[in-house]
Amino acid sequence: MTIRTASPSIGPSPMFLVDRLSLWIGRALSLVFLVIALMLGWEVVVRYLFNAPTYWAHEIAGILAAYAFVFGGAYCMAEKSHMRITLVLERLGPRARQVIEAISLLAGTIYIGGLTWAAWRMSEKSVFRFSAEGLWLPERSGSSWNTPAPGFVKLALLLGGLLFLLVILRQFLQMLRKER
Amino acid sequence: MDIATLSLLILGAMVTLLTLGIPLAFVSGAIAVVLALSHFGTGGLFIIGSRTAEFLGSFALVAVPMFVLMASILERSGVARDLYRAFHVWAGGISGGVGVITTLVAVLLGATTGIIGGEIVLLGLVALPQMLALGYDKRLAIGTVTAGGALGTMIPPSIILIFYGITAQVSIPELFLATLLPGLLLSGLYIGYILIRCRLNPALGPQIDEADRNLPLAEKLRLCKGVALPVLVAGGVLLSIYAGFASITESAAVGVLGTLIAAKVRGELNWPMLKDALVQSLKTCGMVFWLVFGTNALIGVYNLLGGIAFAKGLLGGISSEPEIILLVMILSFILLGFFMDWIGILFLTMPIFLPTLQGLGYDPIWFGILFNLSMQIAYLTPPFGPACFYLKGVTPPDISLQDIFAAQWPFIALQVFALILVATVPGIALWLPDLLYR
Repeated sequence: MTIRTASPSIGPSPMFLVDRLSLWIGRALSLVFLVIALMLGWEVVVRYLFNAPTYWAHEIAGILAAYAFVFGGAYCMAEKSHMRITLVLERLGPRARQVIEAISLLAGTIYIGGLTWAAWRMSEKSVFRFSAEGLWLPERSGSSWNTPAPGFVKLALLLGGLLFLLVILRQFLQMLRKER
Repeated sequence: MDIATLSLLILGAMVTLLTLGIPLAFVSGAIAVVLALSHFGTGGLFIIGSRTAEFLGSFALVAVPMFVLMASILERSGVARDLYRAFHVWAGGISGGVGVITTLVAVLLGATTGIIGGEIVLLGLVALPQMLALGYDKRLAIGTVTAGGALGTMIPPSIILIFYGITAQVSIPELFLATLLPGLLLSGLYIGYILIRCRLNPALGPQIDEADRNLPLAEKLRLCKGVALPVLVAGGVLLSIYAGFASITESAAVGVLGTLIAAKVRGELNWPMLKDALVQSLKTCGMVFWLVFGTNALIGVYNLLGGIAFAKGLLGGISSEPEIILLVMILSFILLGFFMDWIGILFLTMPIFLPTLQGLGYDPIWFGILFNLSMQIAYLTPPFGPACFYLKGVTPPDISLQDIFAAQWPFIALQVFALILVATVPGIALWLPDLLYR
């Protein structure tokens, strides 16, 4: 009952483009975990057997994982599997449930909207930086490889947040249409 | 509005929204955005964005999907069933023997996973029907499964301790080592409890079937063969972490590869199964991480509003005795555990507790273990007892949630006892890390 993986108030809904996109991206990004396992496994092997640690494995693993974590949010939203306490919800009538569902989507819009806006402004500063001559000058990690990792993470937050927001807004629209 | 009123308002809003059934991932995040906008304007949103990005950038987090994936693969293979079968024939003619075996299997499964959900589901599917079929007392059997399954985060590796280590900025391998003895102590208490109850009243835990008991030794050993490899992989991961062969994340990644090989050898690895395990891991990460993002954002804004300083002052003003303050902290873990999950409690309390703790001169590693033990209690206590909900998902309909909750009390009492022991004798937690690392 309490932690449940399906929304109790809106039944099976037709899949919309953003939902399908979120689920597809989620499935594709889940492969990242396998890639990370292989990469870090490789890193351990070459470090011990050949005494030649890679310079790239950790940084790439971190970036890939960040994308998977962020887009996991949109995946769960499209699947309506974000955790919620349904103790009270289960005892309410359809009308009250609808109201709670609306509050949920509003809270989601406020949070993900605010976060995505901040992610946009931060990505602007970190990723879309150019010198006077038009050279790309992203924020860099400062490691030996010095990748633009911090920028990539912020970009993940921007893209993943945007998709998450779209899924929420899509559910909002569907609810409004039902009202009419 | 002064900070005291504001704090009450935030707390009230959180409790209201959570009980109404607003997704946990949105509640704290939405409150954080509203607070940031109303107090600092759009610039306030940067604190939310940058804290989230900074958190997302910590490499130690990569260990989380690795441990989750390891568990997801094992869940989809028959390892748990075989492990149980291999162990159960050793139960012999002892009353309550199968309950003891269930606890031992739970400890072993706990060493392969760092989360509790999967473990409880596995035990609920494999061990509970077996015990009930033998005629075990319903409550004893249920309690054994939920309390045993909750050990997943008490026996290293542990997702809770990874997040605690990142928050408190202490060594995660040390935490993993420190939780080992308290985890075994807790398992020992469960086993002792089962044995005593069944000795006093053998009807509570009947012996296993004659046929299973009299299985020839060679046959019993043959059963162990199939589970040797996965157990070795889990042991290897822990050894690699403790001995410092590789970082936690690397060890977990190698553990994933080892688990894949073990599944392959057992003839269980195929693409649909792996795909399923991967997507399951992504979902778990999506849920857990967005919960953390929201709580982390709220803490950031609350801190900027002077809330953390306020709460620290409040905490420090309780008493001049360090022991009393420590007691208040642990009691608030337990109290919050009735209503919240561990992530919420961790991110809500630690920014306040950790600086106070260091001022009092307590060891943050030991404190992490006290937190971990408190979360064992939080898993079982109603109305928000995740372990019970997980089990309810897989039990036959004639076992109600009320039955499950009613079964927890003796085990909660044992957890409280273990918590008191480790709180009064810090050596139980600190002896091993002191021995190996300091």
